[in-house]
Amino acid sequence: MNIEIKAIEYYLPLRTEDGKTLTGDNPDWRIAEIEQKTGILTRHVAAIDQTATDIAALAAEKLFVSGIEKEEIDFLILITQSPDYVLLTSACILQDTLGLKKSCIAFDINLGCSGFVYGLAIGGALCESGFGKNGLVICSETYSKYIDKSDRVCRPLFSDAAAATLLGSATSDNLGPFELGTDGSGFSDLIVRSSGARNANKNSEERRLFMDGAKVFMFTMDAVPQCVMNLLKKSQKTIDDIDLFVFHQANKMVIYNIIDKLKIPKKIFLNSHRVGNTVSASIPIALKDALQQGCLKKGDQIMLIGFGVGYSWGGCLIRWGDM
Amino acid sequence: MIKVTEQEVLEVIRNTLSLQKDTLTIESGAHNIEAWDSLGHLGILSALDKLFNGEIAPIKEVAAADSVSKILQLLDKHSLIDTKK
Repeated sequence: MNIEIKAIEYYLPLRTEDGKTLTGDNPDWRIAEIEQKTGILTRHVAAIDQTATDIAALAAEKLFVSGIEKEEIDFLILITQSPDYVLLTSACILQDTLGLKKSCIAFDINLGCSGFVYGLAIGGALCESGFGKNGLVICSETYSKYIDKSDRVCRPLFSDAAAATLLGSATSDNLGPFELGTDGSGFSDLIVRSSGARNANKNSEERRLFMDGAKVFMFTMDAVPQCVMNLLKKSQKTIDDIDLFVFHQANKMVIYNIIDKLKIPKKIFLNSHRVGNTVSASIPIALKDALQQGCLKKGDQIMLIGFGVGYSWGGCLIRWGDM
Repeated sequence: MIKVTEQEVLEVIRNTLSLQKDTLTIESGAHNIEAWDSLGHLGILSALDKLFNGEIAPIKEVAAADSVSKILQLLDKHSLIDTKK
């Protein structure tokens, strides 16, 4: 696709939690061991009255401060599983909050860790098919609102964040191919069971995030290497042709397992130690950090791979532009 | 298809959980080994997948195998245990 990422900005909620916070609430947790295995040292937590839509707006406003005109935004794709309301598209609230024009297309995508890649695919397709020249793909999550303080599986991993990406038409082929997939048989392994119409009357325990870590890990070990290999085959490239792999920043153990299986040598970017697992926002945040740390340069071939809840996965290649 | 012995499987689990020799038996599992917690279990799954060169990942039932005996039974069911050695 003749599409490129023109800008990325992100927002991390001000409140942070580290190992001390976790052991303060849970003295029996062996936090050093947890940190050593997950690699996650700090996580961000949205304020009680701060929603994913709120932090999405803060991330997007950073783009506009940097000189991007609101009038240029033809579509807004909000990727979130923490909507303000079950019945009401959060992207519509965001269109109004940001003051975007009324001809702006706005809709939500309910996907987790694969969401950014899906957002690029759909945003790119909107541009290519003439629905607009520029659009925002915003990934925003506040999983902390679903996680109990004593949840040893989820709390040490997930972190709240929003990332706003400006996607726009380009003169050369910078985006794609894509490899997208779904295995809904794993739907119950990562879920908030009574978050919608089904089980609506269940107790508060059912309104918490549940994750069967072992099953999700098995899915990851199976699906992600296949996704990478399929994408390489589709693009007629090898691992050596890729300058940087940016995986969803699940945690250190997951990513090391993937790179070990694929024998990817030192061409990955990791930042989950600093920001945690920010669900769909993790890839754009990693891209921005990689750029700021000098790990990306114009013309680089980058592979993005998102995977998780659903199960859902998505991978794509991007040729890094002038950003 | 790679086949390994029961002893090799035990050794991989023992190394992953950093256990002393002879502290892991056929009776061991998450119920009586402190290091075999949720993260320890992920480490075991990862190590087994490596041992079997990626052939474990598609066997979804392994995720719930939280003891040595359950793991060995599943591996045997999928003909991954070498009983001749």
